[in-house]
Amino acid sequence: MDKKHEKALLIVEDSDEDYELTRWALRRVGFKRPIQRFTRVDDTLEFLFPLDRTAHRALAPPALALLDVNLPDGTGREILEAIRCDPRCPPFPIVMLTTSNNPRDVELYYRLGAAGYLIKPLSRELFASRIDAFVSYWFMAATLP
Amino acid sequence: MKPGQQDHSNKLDLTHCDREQIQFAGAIQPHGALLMLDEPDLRILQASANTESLLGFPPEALHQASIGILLGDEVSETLRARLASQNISGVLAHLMTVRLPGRDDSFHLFANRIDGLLLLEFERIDEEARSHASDLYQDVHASIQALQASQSLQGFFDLTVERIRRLTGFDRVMVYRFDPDGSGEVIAESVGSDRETYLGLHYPAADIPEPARRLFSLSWVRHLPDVDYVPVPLVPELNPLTARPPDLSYSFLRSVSLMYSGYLRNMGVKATLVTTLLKDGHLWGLISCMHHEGPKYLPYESRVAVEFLAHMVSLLMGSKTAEEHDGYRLTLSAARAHHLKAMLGSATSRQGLMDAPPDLLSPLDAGGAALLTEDGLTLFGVTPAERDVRALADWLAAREDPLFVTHRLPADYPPAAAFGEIASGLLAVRLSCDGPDSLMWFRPEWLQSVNWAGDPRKPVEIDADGDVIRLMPRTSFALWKETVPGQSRPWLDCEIEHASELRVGIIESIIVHTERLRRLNSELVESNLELDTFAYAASHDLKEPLRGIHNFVQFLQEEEGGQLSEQSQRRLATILRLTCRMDDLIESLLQYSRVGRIDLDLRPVDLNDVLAQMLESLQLQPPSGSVRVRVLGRLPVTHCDRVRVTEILGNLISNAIKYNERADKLIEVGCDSELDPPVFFVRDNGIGIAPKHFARIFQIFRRLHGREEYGGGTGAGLTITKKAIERHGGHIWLESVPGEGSIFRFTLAPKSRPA
Repeated sequence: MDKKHEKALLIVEDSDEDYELTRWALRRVGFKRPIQRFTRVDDTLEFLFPLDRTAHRALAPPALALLDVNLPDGTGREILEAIRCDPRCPPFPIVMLTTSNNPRDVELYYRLGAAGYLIKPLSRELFASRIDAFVSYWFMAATLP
Repeated sequence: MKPGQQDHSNKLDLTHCDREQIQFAGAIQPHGALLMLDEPDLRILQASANTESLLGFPPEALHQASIGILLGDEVSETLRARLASQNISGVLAHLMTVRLPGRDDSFHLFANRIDGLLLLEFERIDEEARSHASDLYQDVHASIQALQASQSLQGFFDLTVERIRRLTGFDRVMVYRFDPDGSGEVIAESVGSDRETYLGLHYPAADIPEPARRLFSLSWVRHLPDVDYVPVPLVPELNPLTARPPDLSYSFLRSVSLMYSGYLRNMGVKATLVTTLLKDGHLWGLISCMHHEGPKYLPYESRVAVEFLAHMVSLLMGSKTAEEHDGYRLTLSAARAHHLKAMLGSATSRQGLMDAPPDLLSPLDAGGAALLTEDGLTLFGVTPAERDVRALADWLAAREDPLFVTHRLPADYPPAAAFGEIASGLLAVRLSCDGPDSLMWFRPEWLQSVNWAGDPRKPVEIDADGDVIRLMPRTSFALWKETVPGQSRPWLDCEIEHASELRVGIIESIIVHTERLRRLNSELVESNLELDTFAYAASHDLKEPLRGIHNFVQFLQEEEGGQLSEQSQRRLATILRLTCRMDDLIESLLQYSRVGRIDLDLRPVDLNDVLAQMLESLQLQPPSGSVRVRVLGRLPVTHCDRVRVTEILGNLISNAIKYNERADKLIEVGCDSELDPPVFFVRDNGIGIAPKHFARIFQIFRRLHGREEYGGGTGAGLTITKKAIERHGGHIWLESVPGEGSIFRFTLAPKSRPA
């Protein structure tokens, strides 16, 4: 497939260090798709739901989104709910990427419609292996819209 | 006489006496005339048989006649006007004085309206007494001034009898006080020196039966000028309108009970005048005037003076009684103020009462005191034994009234006979509506000798003449002394008031404390939740930068590792190790705060399943030797949060394995199900814990050993375990012998309150 037409991976992550680590882990497994990053809830929603409804999106909808939970102006939950509740938004899987290993959080995000839940461990190697599995599954095994 | 017979006649006399309806006697004394009329016609329906001599018309001539026949038209009109303007119901009112047409003598005319009938009484005016009316006024005025100035209550009554005797000229004047049981005592007397004194004598209740006491409270003055009078009947005997004898309750001429006149004759009394003493609207006692010399008639003017004095005595008596104990009352009220202040300033009402001076006993004149609350029983001074006080409190708790006052406890509560010497008097207030909580004061027995005027057990004599049994008033008034056991000095009004008000104060303070506690509790719950939320958010946010440090050190090692000195490389490795340790600590903190924040999911859980699953997932393969986990018996199905309980058992079992240096490690898990609530235990044969460390092991991040010893760890496991147990309302404790092993016990439910 022509790379220019490949849909991007949307990453919502406010921490530059964590973003850099994710980029590193993706690179290590040879992930080549374009990556689009937002650091705030409002930026993300502005992108997904432009105020000018007739306007074409500057960019195509993402193939998949990796959502952090804690963001400077809100939580990943707001983004997840907005996407899941608005039929205008094209469908794509949303995978949570967060520090929280609280079983309640895990349960909550699956209930809200998350397609996956990745915990950021302290260990870089463990993280890299999780990203490896994530890419293999979603971008090699699964069929995306 | 057989005992049964004695008993029967005793009953007979009292009931008979109490039933005699004096007010329907249907006859009057001869010192005046009585007419019953209807209204508004003022037609004469009945007349006393003595009208001819007093008023000039025989009763037959008055029958069915208008009052005009007696008074003439002009006076009749004045009478009608008076009847219309004056209140004559429930009272015998002095209406006017009248001179009958064609006769020389004048009369006082009294009226009372009762049962729809008009009662008129005529009393001949004593012209001599009228002329001395102004002297009487002077005398009464001086008496009142003297009474006001009297210093003590006894002095006050002594002066009362002396003044009234001087005013009336009776041989004997007494103040007689009723006791609650209806008997009474002569507490003041003025009598000629040649006569025996009645002062200090007690009279049994039967001497002044209930109907007489009722009539005393209806009118202020009762006068019997001649005990040997011949009663004057009414003509006709029954009222033509009501077909029964008229109600003479308010008549001052009303004939007295045969029992009464007989009683007086037996005492050698020829004439009496009795006025009522009221205190706070209740019959308190009598001023009794007696004449022994011969008949004695007291004219209206003097009776009014006596009545006025009796009113004044009644009014002044209240304040004199109060003044009598003024100092004591002040002491008690000051003590009360201290108690109340101390209670509000203390953590609990009980503590306030116990800790701050004065104690509960010393201000009040009692031998001992007891305070019983759910926190225990405290005794002050000389009291019955603890179990006796508790039994008494239980007895009191069954009573309706929260206040109990007695000066003869053994009579009210027979078990008290065993400790009557210490507590014949009891003043008690209840502090809770459904429990035995109470405050009591005890007063010791006070052997008192009572001087009865005659044997109180034989208040009436029975004259059995053939088949006819007649009741006779007793003839013997010989002094009869009785020593009364099982009694204490009675409690004073101000002492009873002290107890009642202290009770109200204590209950108010309990309410204040309960409210304060409730507020503190809700604040505590709130603040605990806030703290847990804070700990959770803080530790969560701490993880992110820590991960950054950790990863960037790894990048550095990778990218620049080769160029760094060996020492720098070691330092980078140390940073990595420290970030790992910090991550563990933060994770423990997160778990700990989570236990506090998250609501428990309580449902019946089979702990055998929990244990089996957990043992499967636990790594039971130590580097050397063996691990055996034995379950003793079956664990009960318990109402708890499955996740938390898994954590609890997991922590305790993994600690038991961790802190164990034996080759064959043995862990036993079990439950004492017969206890309430059931007590679970985890026992090991590990290294054990010195008792001085028992408290420390539950503190967060507290490790008794080196960081890397016994497999490391953050030292939060037992803290989390303890918190999870406490969230269930249970608690955890341990026994241990260093070198032999430890046993941790815990419950998963609050202690059940004793029923």
